Amino acid sequence: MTGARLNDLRLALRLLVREWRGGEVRILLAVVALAVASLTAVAFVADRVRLSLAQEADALLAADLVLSGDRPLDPAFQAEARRRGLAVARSATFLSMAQGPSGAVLAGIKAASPGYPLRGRLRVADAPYGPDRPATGLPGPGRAWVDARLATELRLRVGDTVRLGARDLAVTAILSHESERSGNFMALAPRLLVAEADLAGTGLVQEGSRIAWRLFVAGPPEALAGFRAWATPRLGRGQKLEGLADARPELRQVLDKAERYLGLAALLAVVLAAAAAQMILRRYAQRHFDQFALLRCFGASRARLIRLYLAQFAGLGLAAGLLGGVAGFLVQWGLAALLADVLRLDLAAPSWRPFGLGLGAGLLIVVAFGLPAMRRLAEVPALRVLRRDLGPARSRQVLAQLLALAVLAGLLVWQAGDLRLGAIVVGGLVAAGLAAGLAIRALLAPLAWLAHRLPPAPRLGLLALRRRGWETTLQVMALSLGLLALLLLTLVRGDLLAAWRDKIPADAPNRFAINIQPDQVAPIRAWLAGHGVPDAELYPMVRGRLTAIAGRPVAPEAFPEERARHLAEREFNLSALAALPADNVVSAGRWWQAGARNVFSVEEGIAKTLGIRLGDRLDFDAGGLPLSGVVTSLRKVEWDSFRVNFFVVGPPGSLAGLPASYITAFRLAPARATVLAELVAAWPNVTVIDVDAVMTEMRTLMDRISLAVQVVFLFSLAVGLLVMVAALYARRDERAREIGVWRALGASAHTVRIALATEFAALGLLSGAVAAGAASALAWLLAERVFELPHAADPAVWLAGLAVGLALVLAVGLAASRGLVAAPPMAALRDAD
Amino acid sequence: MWLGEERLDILAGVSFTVNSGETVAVLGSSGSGKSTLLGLLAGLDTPSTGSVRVDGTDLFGLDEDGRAALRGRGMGFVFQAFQLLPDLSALDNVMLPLELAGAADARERARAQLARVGLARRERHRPGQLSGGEQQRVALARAFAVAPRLLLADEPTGNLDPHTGAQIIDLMLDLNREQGATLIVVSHDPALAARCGRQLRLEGGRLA
Repeated sequence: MTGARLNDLRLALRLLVREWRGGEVRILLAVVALAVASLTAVAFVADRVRLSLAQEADALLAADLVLSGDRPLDPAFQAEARRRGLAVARSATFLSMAQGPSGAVLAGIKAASPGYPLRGRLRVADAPYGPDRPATGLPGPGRAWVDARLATELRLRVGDTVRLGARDLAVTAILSHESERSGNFMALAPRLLVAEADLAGTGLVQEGSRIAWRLFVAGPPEALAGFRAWATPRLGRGQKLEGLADARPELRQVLDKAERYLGLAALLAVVLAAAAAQMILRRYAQRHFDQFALLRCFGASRARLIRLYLAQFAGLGLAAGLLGGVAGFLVQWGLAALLADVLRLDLAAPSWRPFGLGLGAGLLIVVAFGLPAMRRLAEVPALRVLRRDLGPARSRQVLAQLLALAVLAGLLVWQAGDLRLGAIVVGGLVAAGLAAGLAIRALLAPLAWLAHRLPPAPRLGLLALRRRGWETTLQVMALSLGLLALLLLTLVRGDLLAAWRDKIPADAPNRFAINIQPDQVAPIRAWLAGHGVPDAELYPMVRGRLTAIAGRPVAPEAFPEERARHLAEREFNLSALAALPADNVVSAGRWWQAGARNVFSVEEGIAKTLGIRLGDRLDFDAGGLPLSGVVTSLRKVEWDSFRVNFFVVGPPGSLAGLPASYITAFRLAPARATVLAELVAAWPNVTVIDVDAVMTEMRTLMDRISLAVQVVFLFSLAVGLLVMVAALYARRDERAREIGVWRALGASAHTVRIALATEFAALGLLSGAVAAGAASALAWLLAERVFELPHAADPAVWLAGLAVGLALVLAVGLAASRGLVAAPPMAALRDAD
Repeated sequence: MWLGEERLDILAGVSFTVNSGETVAVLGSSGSGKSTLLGLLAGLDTPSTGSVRVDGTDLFGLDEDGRAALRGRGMGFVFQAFQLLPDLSALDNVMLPLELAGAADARERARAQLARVGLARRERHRPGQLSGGEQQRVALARAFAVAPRLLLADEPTGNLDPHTGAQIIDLMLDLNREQGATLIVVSHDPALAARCGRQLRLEGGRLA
C-alpha cells in the first residue's frame, strides 16, 4: 500500500471515530453486531448439533469405524490405524453358556480390550433395574459384568461368581446400558462382559468357534478417511468396514426443527440488519452532503472521497462483525455447554470458521447497503458550499440497490442452507412489502378526513403524516418489518415449543418388552394389568428380509446410498395392525378396511430411501416362508413419540402361519421398576428394555434446545427493536425543522407534544396492523410448509400487533424526539438552513 | 446558464486580473452574480463560455478532479454560513483540510492556528457551542491553516453583527498580510470593501 493510501486509511478511521458522536453510527454498529452475533451463534450451534448427532450415531457403533470379521483380524489393520494416530479397541463376541447359582443360560459374551467403547459410554448399576451410573473402564481381570436379564435368570448378585468355560469370574456390576447393543434390539441373548485378557483362560476360543471379531477405530475425519481408503481394498472374505449409520431418527427430527428455527431467527436478524443499515446509511449520506462538498472544495477528488467513505463503512462493518462475532462466540459457548451436558458429549473445540463468516457478514451488510448511500453522496456538487440548496443530482441508484439486494440474497442463501426456508422468508418479505405498501397508501387516504374532525393539535400530527405520503409509507414499512419480526418469532416459537411439550407426554411408555411368545401374550397382558398397566397393546412381529420390490429382486449393492444398502441387507420387523396408530398419519394412499388381505402400509421415509411406491408389490422372506402384498398406503411416523412403530405393517391376519413374537411398550413408575425382575423371572425369554434414561435425555435435550431458541430469539428481538429506533431516528433532522416551524408559528410546547403523540400513535397503529397481517400469513406458511406443525390462526396476534405497535412506536418515537420540543425554534431553523 | 428554454446570462463580459498578494473586494447587491463569480474563480462551477486562469493554468482546461487538486494545493475558503461540520470539534474542523492534504503535523498546525485566532481554549468545543463570531474565527483558522496562496471569501461578515463583523475583517486581513496570500472577497459590505486594495463592482452580471 502506498503512503498516500495508508494515510487515507488512517484519515478514514479518524473520521469514523469522530462520527461516533452522531447517534446513527452507534445504532448501526449495535444493529449489525447483534445480527452478526445471532448469525454466528446459530452457525456455531448448528455445527455442533451436527457434530453431536454424528457422535450419537458413533456411540451406537462404539466407534467412528468398525471393522468386523468371522476370523481373527490381521494385526496389520490395527497397526495401520495406530500409525495414522487413530484410537483403537477390539472385541470378540460369541454365544456361550454361563453358569450361575441357578443353572446355566445361553449368554452373549463380549470380551473387550481396554479403551472400549471408543464412543458412547457403558452404564452400570449395583442391582438389576436399580439406579445406574456411567462406568469407568471395563471389568478387571477375573471379573465380569452381567446385564439385568442374566442376573435375574441365574439369580446372580454383585459379589457372586459366574462360570464361563473353564474360568470363574467375579460379578462386580450389573451392566445397565451398552449403546453398541441398543442399535440392535434383537441381540437377544443376555449379556456378559469380560476383559479381553480373560478370553484365553476360558478355553472357548478354538478353531471353528463362531466368534465375531471387531476392531473399533476413532479419531479425526481425515485420518479416518485415510484409514478407510487403505483398509477397504485389503478386506478379506467375511470382513466388512462400517461407518456411522443413520441413528436416532427421533432425535434428528427434533434437532432438525430446532436448527431450522434457529436458522429462521438468524435469517430475520440479517434481513432486519440490512433494512436498518439501509435506513441509517441513507440518513448518514444526507447528513454528509455538506462534508462531502466541503472536502471536494478542499481539493479531494471524487474517487478519493468515495474511497474514504467506503473505508469508513468497511471499518464500521468490521468493527460490528468483530463485536458480533465475539458475542456470538460467547453465546454459542454457553449454548453448546448446555447441549453437550445432556448429550454426554465431549465437543470438539469450536472452529474459527463461523467467526470469520460473522466478520464477513458484518462487512458485507454495511458496505453493500452503504453503496446506494455512497452513490447519492458522490453526486453532491462541490458548489453546495456556496449554495446550500444544491443536493445530489437525481441519480440512478437502481444498480446500487440491486447490488445490495443481491448481497443480502447471497447472505440468506448461505445462512438458510435450506433453500425452501430461505425462499419462503424472502418471498414472504417481498410480497408482504408490496402488499404493505399498497395497504398503507389505502389506510393513509382517510387520515385527512379524520384530521379535519379533530382539535388542532392532533390534526397537526395527522396532517404531517398524510402530507409526507411516500415517506410515511416507507417509515411504516420499516416499523412493521421490526414488529413483524417480533410477532413472527413469538408466534412460530409458540407453535414449536407447544409441539415439543406435547411430544413426550407424561404417560409416554418407558419400557419395551420384546420376544414375547404367542402363548405368553394373554398371561403377560394380565400380569401388566395387575401392575397398573390396564390396556397394554401387544403387537405381533415377524422378521423378514425384503427380497423384491415390484417384482425386481432387491440387491443391496445396487443402492447408491449407504443407508439404503444397510436397510436392504437387514431384516425388517413386520407387524399386523387393524387401526392406524394415533401417532401415524397416512401421507399417500388409504388405510385398509376390515378384511383386507395381502396389502402393506410403508413408512414414507424408508419408502423414499428404497424407492418403494404406492401399488408396488413387496416380497419378504420370513424365516424361509414367503410373505407378499401390495403397498396401499404410505405413513408418516412420529419416531419421537416413544411408542412402538414399524416400517412395514399389514392388516390383521396377514402374519398368520409365520413365526411371530410379540412386542409391547408400557409405562411403569420408576419406583416400581424393580417388579420387572419378577416379569423376567416368570418369562425368562422376554427381554425388557429400559428407555427411561433415553427419555430423560430427550426431555432435558428439548428443554435445553428451547432455551437455545429463546436466547437466539432475544437477539432477533433486540435487532427488531433497533430497526424501529433507526426508522424513527432517521427522520430526526426533518422533524426538528418541522417542530421549529410549528413553534415559530406560535404552537405551544403542549400542542407540539400532542401533535407528536398523535403522529406516533397513528404510525404505531398502522405499523401494528400491517405487521399483524403479514405475521399471520407468514406464520401459517412456515408452520404448514417448513416446520410441519399444526397451526391455529390466533386472533390475538392482531391485538398484540396493534397494542405493541402503538406502545413501542409511541415510546421510542417520543424518546427519539426528546429535546426537540424544548430546543429554541431558532436553533432548529438555523441548523436546517 | 440555461433555465428551461430561456438563456439567462448571470455574468457577461466580466474580465479582470488579480496580482499576487493583492486584496480585492467584489461588491454588488443580491442577485448581481457575486457568488456565481466566486464559484467560477474556485472552479466549483463551470461557465458556458470564458476562462479563469490561476497562475497561468486554465481552470476549465482541467477536469473536476484536476480543479479539486488545484484547490487543494493553494486555495483557502471562508463562507458566509461558516460551513463548519457540526459533529466535529473546533480543532477537528481545522485539522480536516490539513489531514486531507496528508500533513503529518496536522494537529500542531491546527492548534497553532486556533491559538492565532484566539480560540486556544475552545478547541474541544463543537460549532453549536460557539457564537457566530467564534465560528467564523474557526473557519478563518481552517482557511489559513493550509497556508493558501489564494483565499476566497464569500460574504464572511454576512451572518454577523457589525461589531463582530469588524473584528472578523481585522483578523482576516491581518492573517492575509502575515501569510502574503492573495485575497478575493465577495461582499455587499462597504466597510469591508474599503479595507481592500481594490474594489470591483458587479451590476446585473457586468463589471461597473
